[in-house]
Amino acid sequence: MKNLRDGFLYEHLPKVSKLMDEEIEKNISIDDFPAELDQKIYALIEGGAKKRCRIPMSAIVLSFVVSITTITVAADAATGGKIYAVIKEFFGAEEITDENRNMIGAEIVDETSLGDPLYEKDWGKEITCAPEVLSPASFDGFAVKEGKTPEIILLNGACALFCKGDYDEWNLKKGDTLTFEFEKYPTHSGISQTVFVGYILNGVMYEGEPFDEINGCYQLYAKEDGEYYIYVISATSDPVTLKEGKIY
Amino acid sequence: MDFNSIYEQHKCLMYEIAKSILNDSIYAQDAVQNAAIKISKHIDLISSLSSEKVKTLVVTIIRHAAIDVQRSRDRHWDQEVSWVDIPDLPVTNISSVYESSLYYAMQKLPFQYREVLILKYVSDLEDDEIASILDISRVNVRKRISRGKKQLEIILKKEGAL
Repeated sequence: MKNLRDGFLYEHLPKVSKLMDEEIEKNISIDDFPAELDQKIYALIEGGAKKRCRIPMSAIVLSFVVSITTITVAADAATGGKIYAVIKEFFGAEEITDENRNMIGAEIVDETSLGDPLYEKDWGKEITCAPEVLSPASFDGFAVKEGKTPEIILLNGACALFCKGDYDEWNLKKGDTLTFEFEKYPTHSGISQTVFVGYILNGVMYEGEPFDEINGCYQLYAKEDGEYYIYVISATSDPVTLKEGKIY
Repeated sequence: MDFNSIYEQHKCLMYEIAKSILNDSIYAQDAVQNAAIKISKHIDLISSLSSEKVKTLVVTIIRHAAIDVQRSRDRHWDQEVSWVDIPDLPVTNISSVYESSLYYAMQKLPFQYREVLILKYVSDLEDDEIASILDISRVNVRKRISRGKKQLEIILKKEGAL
């Protein structure tokens, strides 16, 4: 009996793989492709595909005024009373208030109509994405008071930027550390969603780390002196909600 | 080929493969999104391949992304369950005994081994390229290739194809 050689696989596996692809294709039906998915993907990719994408800081949306205008909640008796939030004209990330609290753990079942973000404050600075970073769909700044981050909710691709006190950065020396402890609300199905947490150093956004558990702890180690922010990006199609967290 | 043309050409296939694995359109959208990000990150590598190899790679990437979504959805999920299996090959499509045996053997192979073998022997990718696409270490890629080949060899020997 012979052993399986690389030559055998290089010769026959491409043909077999082609047959497998054809059979898979035959066994699925191409239905309607969701148009909103194109929008999401192009919004994510087009920024990131550029070598260095410059995002004017004027595009940073501050926390308190964002355009939630309508939130309706419907209970579906057929699915055992599972609650779905139907979100209209909501964009980016925002603090949890009584008005949006019922979206915690929501799962989108209707197409979301994205409104234009409101620009509350021009910081007069720019954020530049490092080449490996896909630029977020939106930026929202959130003040960290007494070391506590507010409860926030983020839509897919939205970036929440945590600022020290009155929207200032953390001035860190090389070797300093900054820790962000957070907890997500699970969705109604009990699923934990994925977020990326990373940092901005001297106006440059660097690639974050994925966190897909309910609890997370991100540790920033300053590799050089500079002005740092910590950011969170939602990487899930449903809204992701973070409970009050700590940065220290 | 740039990202847009690759995405436009394969997006329906990607979405339907993800939906067939996940049985849920919202989760399928998550999988397509993750796969699209992966494709965009490796666009230089992917655009250098022939269109046939691009399709194979895209199919592998979307299945991997869908399985990742499924895994995060259900921590106890077993990735070797049958619904990610390849359909049976109709007798009319068999062109050689080697191909039919190999097709059968690949059907039996766990997905984690199948995907590395396809990326290595079909897409002609280097170990570090496979590691980057699958988000695993190069050592892990080598282990999976070695174990996948071993399992494939056992199945092929049983079939009398080796």
